[in-house]
Amino acid sequence: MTEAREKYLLRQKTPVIGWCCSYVPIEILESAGLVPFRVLPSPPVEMGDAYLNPNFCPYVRAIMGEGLVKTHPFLSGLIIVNTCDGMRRLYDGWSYYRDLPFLHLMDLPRITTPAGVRRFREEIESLAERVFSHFGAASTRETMKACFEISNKTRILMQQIEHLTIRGCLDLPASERIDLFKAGGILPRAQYNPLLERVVQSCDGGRDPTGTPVLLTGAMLENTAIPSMIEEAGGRVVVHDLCVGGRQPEDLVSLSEDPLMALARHYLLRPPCARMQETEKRMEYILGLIRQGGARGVIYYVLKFCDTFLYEAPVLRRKLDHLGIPMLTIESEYRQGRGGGVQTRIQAFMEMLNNSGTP
Amino acid sequence: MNRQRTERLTRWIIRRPIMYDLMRGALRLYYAREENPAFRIWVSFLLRTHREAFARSRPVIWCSAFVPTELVHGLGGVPVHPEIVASLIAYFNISDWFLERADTRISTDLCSFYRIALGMAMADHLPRPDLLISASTLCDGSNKFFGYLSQLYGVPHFFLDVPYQNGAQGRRYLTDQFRDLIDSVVCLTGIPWIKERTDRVVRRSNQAREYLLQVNTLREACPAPFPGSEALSYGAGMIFCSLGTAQAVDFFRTLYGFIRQSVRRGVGHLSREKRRLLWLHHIRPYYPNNIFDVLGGKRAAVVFEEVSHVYWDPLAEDTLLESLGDKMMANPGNGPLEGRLNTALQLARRYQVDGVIHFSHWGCRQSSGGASAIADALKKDGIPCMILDGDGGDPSNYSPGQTQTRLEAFLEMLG
Repeated sequence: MTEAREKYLLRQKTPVIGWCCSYVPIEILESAGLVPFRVLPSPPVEMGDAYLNPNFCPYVRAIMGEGLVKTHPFLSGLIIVNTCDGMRRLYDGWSYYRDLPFLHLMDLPRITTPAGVRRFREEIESLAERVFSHFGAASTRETMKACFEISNKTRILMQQIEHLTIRGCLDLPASERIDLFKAGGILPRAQYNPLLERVVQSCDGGRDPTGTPVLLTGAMLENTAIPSMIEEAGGRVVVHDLCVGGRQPEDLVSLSEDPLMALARHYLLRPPCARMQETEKRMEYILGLIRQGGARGVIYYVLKFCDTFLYEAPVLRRKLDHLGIPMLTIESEYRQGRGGGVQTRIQAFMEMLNNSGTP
Repeated sequence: MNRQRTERLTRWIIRRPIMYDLMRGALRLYYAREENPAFRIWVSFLLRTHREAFARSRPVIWCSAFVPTELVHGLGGVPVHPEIVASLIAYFNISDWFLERADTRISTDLCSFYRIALGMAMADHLPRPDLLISASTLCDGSNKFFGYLSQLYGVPHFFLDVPYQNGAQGRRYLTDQFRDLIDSVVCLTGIPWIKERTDRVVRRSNQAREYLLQVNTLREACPAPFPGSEALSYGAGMIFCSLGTAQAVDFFRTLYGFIRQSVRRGVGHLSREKRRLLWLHHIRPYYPNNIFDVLGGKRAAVVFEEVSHVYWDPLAEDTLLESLGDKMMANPGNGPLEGRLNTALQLARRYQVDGVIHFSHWGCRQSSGGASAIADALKKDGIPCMILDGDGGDPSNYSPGQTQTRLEAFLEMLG
């Protein structure tokens, strides 16, 4: 699907703007008739080492590497978000080493106070001004709202898929569910929403789900072999909280207020990733997911050298220890495939969970 | 004496304010022959700060390195900088005590200063905070690590989200955060934010800044009158921890006088200086290491370092919060790399260096991620740059032989 889409993007004329973080309000691009494209690089990552540093987030190094070899020649621009030190330096790397017509770093507040929301609105406005000016594009309040209606539809469908998964109504392995959510960053909504609808309609009304329910949480999951390994070991990824799907807010983008403020509020106030400052809010969100899904264990997936998630891990572990919920931390180097060590650890963790019978 | 007993004893000693009075007296004698009187002021400052923190006569406020200390003094608190304390622990070569503990909880891929600080917190070797203040600049650790400390100690964590770039909107955003922070902390501590105190803090900070500027001008002299290794230790320590205090004014005034004497006599800290180097990063390895011996042995002087660069304007008494915000946003490490890159070029030219060493501290993504681009820019300007990978606090990440080889090769290349 990805290959076909990329071939199409190479042929068509509309500017394609890459983005790397789910905090980018892609409706800004869609409303102006531009094509957003989520950059999900493939390993290996070593190419970026000479320009960043080997002890850097491998996802960031992979994007740097892809930039150097121009894996996506159809990209007319790239939006990077100031999510972490790695992304900040990725922007610098692309600025100095990759000649791209349009490169923008969007500052993302770390706090979700009203001041933070107002600040984010300013950043979104700045992004819109730059992108529209550079590409000679334009958007109106009406076109934005029309975009919101379509993107809200996407959100509703993704939420339905998550709820159906929790209820055990969807016969869709977790790896395919995550791939499905990833596809949303690449396919146009006109294609993606019908795809989601078909998945929702495939719901068979409910059955007793098998497998020990677990929560899979973390940042960027490139290796969908991980959820497969969990399921093969007798687990069921009942809910996931990842940068590639999950963290869907219940609220939709408002159609009744200033569109930029609506976007700022929706994106900033959504369930937070570890990068955000309000650690307690994130802990409450994760515990809420555990309760919602009835998860009996947590698999915490973190990329090597990812400071934000590595600092969060002991905070979450402490919370879960108090509740008697086991947690397994897997550190990944952003590789595909089934590393023997990881598989063994997942098997051992699931065996422990399966035998514990802890409610 | 075994480790446990030693730890119990040190914990007992450091928690007793009277021990600091005794130590001050003893160290005064020990360092009586110390050539640089400013060093004695640093030692006295450290002891006094820790005495106050353990005595708990004022609120103990832990802050991250780039939170302006003037804020804490304005709030009437005693600032404790866990990262700076960690560097002292490394200096005394006992960081492994605390790293062992911390590594049972957090990844060894994280900054060793935070790991040491966590280990010290776990071993109850730090004065318990009443609250924490950290800022998003310059690194992710200062957000998330302090969030973890907040959970460990059960105390509030106040956070300043520094905008990526300067500008009127960012300034307003940061100033509003300062106001909210001050209101909340005043409510918590009961100590009012009063202009008489804050004006005094501002005057002292600006006086210290002025002396530091003059020190930096003196250090342009050839041969280099003051070693970078010392500027990176207690010089940096005073910059991070003391601005806004009378001791800071005293320190930088004394340092200025000391260096001026050397410059007047035409005396360098190295005899027969052959090469001049600029050191990039705010830190160096603090545990016993051979870096500066190797450099000194080859007559290469670290004449200046990034941490000593005065990048901020004088603070304004009447618009203090805006000033503090401007100071944070003006940090060359905040925002896009060009800030730091341009500063490196400027310093390299100003101090007429033959080469630059960029120290890439393990776990410090904000600095190591930009090292290649900075090195390339310097090379384009005809200034060779070496990226020296290492670790500021964890000696197990240090390889003396390899470091010596690399430094010698670099110096040989310089000619």
